[in-house]
Amino acid sequence: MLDLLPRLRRMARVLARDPADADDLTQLTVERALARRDQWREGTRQDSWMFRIMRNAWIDESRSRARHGRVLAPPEAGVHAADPAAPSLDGRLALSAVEAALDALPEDQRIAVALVLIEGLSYQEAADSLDIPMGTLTSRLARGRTALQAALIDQGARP
Amino acid sequence: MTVSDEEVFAYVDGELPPETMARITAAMTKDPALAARIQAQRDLRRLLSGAHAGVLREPVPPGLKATVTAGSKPAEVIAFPQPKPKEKLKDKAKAKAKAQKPAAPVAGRPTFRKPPAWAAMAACLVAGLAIGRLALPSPPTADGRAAELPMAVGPLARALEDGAAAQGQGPVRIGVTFKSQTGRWCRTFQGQDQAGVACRADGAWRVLASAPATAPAAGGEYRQAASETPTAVMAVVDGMISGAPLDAAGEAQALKSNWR
Repeated sequence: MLDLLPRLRRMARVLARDPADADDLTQLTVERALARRDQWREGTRQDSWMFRIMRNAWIDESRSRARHGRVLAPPEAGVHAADPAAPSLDGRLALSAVEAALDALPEDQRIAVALVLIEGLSYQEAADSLDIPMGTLTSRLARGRTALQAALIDQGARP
Repeated sequence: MTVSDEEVFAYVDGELPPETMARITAAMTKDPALAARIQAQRDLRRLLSGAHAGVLREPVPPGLKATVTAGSKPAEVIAFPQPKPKEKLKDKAKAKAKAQKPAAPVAGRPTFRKPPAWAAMAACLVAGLAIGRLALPSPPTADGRAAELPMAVGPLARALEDGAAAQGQGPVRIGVTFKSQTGRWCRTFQGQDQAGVACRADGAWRVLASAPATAPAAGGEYRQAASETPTAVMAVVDGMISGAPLDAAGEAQALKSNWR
């Protein structure tokens, strides 16, 4: 599970957008995973299993925040600090633009895009993580891609 | 041929049947527009794969790491952390050391065999249990080491103090009773939703490790015998037990002598 922490943090960053919230979400995810380790089935991917826990934790968290009147971090509050070490990409501008475009996606599309295009899960694994049929997954993915493409062209950072 | 956007996406994601993949690859060479659409999606994928990549290189916050290595145990039936007796540290260290060992090699397999992934996961879970941090708010203490070992209270405390193994209908059942390598009396227990091991120190029972009891799932999928002690707990017991568990007579004697 230790090895998964960086990727869990990245996924949390996509979901929560705010870095501090993201680490809280990762913490919650790890705690829940430890408490439910009996439910992890040998031979299945631990990462998809934990992404599913994270996504459910995020839903719970969002609901409880809404109840308590806490305002969710607006998209602008996310950190779009480009990664200076990212190799062979279209430069820092494009990378920060893609993170901004990602943050602006509706949550359903954002997480579908993150699971498949960032984390490299298969359609089936991503659909299972989200408890949705594969057709729903591919349609969210398609809408997400189209929106990302449009946003990036708008920003002049051609993908 | 006409290739839909969805097919372009699936092509780039490698999610089409091999024959369709081959057909689109062939079509691309004759259709620059299709080739451009595919290239655009490849670029997007590549760009996305670098999104938030910075966080992968950042050091993981120590608190988060500690949760995994030291583990975290949301409190359920058992609570009420108290400052712990010093000796428990040794027990914990032993239990932890034991827990961190890779799974024992299966007989007949070479010992250098790499432990499977689940073994690593199980090991870190057991280590986590041995530390037994509670999710319930701990009373702040001066030394900051708030209450790592919860004290048994209520029915659990009564069962541990006075109950015989396999006795009765109470909410808590006692499993085995044994002496720890540090000379403490310890007992495994099984509650409605928690099972664990507790040791007696300074007149109180401290829960060293616990895990969700394997409750019968609705579909029966995870069904196990209700009296079964979770393997994670057994691993902790194995790491601290001195000799063999008490038999019924030994247990009765210990009960009668009030755990002297």
